[in-house]
Amino acid sequence: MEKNINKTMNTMKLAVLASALIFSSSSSWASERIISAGAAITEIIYALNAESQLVAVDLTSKTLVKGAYPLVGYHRQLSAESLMSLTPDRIIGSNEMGPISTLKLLKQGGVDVDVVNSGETVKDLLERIDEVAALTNKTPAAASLKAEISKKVDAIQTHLLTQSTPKKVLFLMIHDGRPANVAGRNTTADTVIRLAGAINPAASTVEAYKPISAEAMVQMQPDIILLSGRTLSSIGTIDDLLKKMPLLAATPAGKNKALATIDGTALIGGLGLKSIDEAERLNKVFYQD
Amino acid sequence: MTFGPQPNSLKPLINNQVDKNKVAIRAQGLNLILGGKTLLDNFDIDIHAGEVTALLGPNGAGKSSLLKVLCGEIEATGNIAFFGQNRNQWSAKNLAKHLGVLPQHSTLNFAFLAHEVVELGGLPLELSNIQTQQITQEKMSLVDICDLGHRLYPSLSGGEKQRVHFARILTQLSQAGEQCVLMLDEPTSALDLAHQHKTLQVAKELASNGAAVIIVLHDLNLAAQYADRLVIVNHGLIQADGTPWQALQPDIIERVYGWPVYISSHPTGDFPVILSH
Amino acid sequence: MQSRRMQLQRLPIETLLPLGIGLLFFAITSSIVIGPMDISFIDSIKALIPWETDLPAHIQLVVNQIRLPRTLLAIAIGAILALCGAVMQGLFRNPLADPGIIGVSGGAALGAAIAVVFFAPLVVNYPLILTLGTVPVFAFIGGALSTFFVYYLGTDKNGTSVTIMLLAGVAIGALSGAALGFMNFIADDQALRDLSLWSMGSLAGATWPGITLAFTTLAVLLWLFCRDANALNAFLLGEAEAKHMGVNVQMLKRRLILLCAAGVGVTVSLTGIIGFVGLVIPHLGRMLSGPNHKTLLPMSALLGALILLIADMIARVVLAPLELPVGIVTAILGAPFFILLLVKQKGRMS
Repeated sequence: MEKNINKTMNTMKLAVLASALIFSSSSSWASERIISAGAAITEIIYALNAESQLVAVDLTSKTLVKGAYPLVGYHRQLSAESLMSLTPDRIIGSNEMGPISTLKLLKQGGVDVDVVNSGETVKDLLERIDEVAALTNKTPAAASLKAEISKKVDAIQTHLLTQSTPKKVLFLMIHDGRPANVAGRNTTADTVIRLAGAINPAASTVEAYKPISAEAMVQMQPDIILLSGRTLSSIGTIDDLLKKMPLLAATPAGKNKALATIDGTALIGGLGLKSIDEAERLNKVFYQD
Repeated sequence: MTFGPQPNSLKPLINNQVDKNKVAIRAQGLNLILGGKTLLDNFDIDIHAGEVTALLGPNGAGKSSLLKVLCGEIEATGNIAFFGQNRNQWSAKNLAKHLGVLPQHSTLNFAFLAHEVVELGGLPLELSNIQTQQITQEKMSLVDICDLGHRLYPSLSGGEKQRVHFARILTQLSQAGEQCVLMLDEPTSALDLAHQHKTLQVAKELASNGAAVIIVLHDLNLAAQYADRLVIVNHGLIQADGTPWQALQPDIIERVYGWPVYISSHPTGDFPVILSH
Repeated sequence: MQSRRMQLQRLPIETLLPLGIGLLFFAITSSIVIGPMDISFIDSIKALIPWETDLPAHIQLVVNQIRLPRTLLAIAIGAILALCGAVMQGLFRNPLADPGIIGVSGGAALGAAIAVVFFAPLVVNYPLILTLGTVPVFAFIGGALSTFFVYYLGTDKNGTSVTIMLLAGVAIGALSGAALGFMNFIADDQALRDLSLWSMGSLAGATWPGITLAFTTLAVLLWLFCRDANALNAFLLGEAEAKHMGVNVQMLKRRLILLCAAGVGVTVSLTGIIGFVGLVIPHLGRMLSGPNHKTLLPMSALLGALILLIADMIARVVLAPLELPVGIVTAILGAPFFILLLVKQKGRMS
């Protein structure tokens, strides 16, 4: 793991040098004006202490920023003129930024359009940190951040070595009047569950967040039910949940009243720093010894 | 079809060239079955230019259907020829210049001015705006709606609207020359007494100028007063056909309408007056 | 004889047309000069002049590549929508008709949904598909297919029944809604968001080929519709009456429906669904210059262009740096006006 990180760092150092040569703009690094078009990116910018460079953020980053920032809206429907009126130097987002005509116009107007990866794995996250650090000239800070993450991931692994049976954890999204959604594969909840050393019983049959029947939930036999903090506060306690969904009593989670919560902000914008923190915490919650 | 001697009270013909026996419409072998009911049964009829033909009969007798078949609104089997030429061979535009149909009801939901509705009659004529307006002015005064010209059509009463459409049809037929057919489907139903008579007078004047006028009426007395020829229809067949005196016999009327009547003579005009029991 | 006097506020077309064109020029200028970026009046106008090269590059870019294309597209799309709305209201003899009544919008939305949900994953790997524009093409095809279907349902050997077409349009709309619901279910959040934004309409995707297409369509529609203006007037009296006046009613219906479907199809493929313009603008036109199609059609086109320009300006500026979908603005402007019209209509009938 260490070797890989070193290798990545060297490549990035080279890239940074190259970028500095190619993109030598008249503005100095310190007064860079950056628009963040994604919650994951905003989170990393704050973690790298680069928030002074931030001038505007997208809608999903609303809860992550401290202070009032102009909101540029939904990242797939950006308005070129509005963005340019903020006189940014660059906009950082995922490959889903759009529309393409806006991105073209931004480039024509001298604004750099930088795409960082939006992957769900830890490796992707580490790369993303490097990419954002390069763009915000915070590469030294990136190293310590990545080291922190690796430490947390390693700690989870170490803890798991003392466990014998992996637990089955099912994440539920509950809205009033609608069937509950579960987190299937390719969701951040799934990644966190697996990072925390548990198994997501829904991953094999469900993709993304989808509603499934109560019977299907019972069949999955989850050991623990995972809810977001907001869901839990609107429902109450595990008993209230069992009243709402009585079939859950036929699962180990229901029988043992095993309920865990996850901070909702760890689930927006893909795998982020908060997600790692939550994975570490949940690991200890799932496996209490 | 037989024609008796014409009553003296009719205006003499102005245009000597009009041949009263000239056939405007010749319909042969008309068959129409709608909803299982036979409305026209191997029907033949000749409509002549220069006279007013009234179609009479009880409700559902087929008189409106006959009118609609003649003007092409309803398809029926059989032949229909206008002025010697099969109706299918007339172009739609050309036929519109010579055939005018005043419907019983007209729905127009849009806020046209009354004179604009009359001017719509100029559509098949291909005249300039000024010329069309001159003609519409003339026709509007003929049906006595000049003072309504700048009113909004939807705000008019049923009778006023009817007269507006009459003026429109007259505009449409203004260039018809000698080949002119006017069809009126129960034109008096929404009109008050004075306008009933004025409308029929205008129709009769048109006939005396050579037009073939067909009117579907349910009022026997109006028919007696204004029509030159009455055709009484029932069960898809002609029950009576002739001058008012000929067609309006008490036994015929009782047979067709199912109600006994007396026939008297109008005090000042030479036409019968029908009085019900 | 009872007569209700009604206030006639009509203005002659000789006054209205120059006035309208003047207003349009004013609106065009405003649209070039106004925007979320602060550019002075003089600079905005200077940027339009091709040989004025001493302006900063970003001002040139914003005025010529962002504001100007949007302005032009707004004019063409607004005019087409209002024109088709006027024609549909005449064809159905119903002032509550809007161009979507023939099923175009429902079918177009379904086409767009299929493109977004099924082709979006492909787009990430093959961005070329997106530049070719799967959504516009599918939207247009969807609109055309559903119009064809509605027309086919409503037509038999006796001709086309506008009543049945109306009902068929409702049915197609319901079918499309159900299919869309299913799409919503199997789509991921992103596709859902994309689709919902598309169905609110936006002028942001203005490209020069698109603008050319829109103006060509507008010119063709204006020419062909105005030729049929008198026939449409006659049609308002009733189909039988129109036939008696020499109008070939069946061919008129077919021609008008196809042209409207094409016109609305083009707008939907270029800008998504923009509502209320086709419904409300013809009413305004009738109020100003009367229901005679000879004046109504040009007035509707003019007013439609004007209103969409204004709506787009509002959409760009009111919540900057957010940009509202223009369909929301037209709904906010159009719905109260329409309610007002209905209240007036109700008062007239009582």
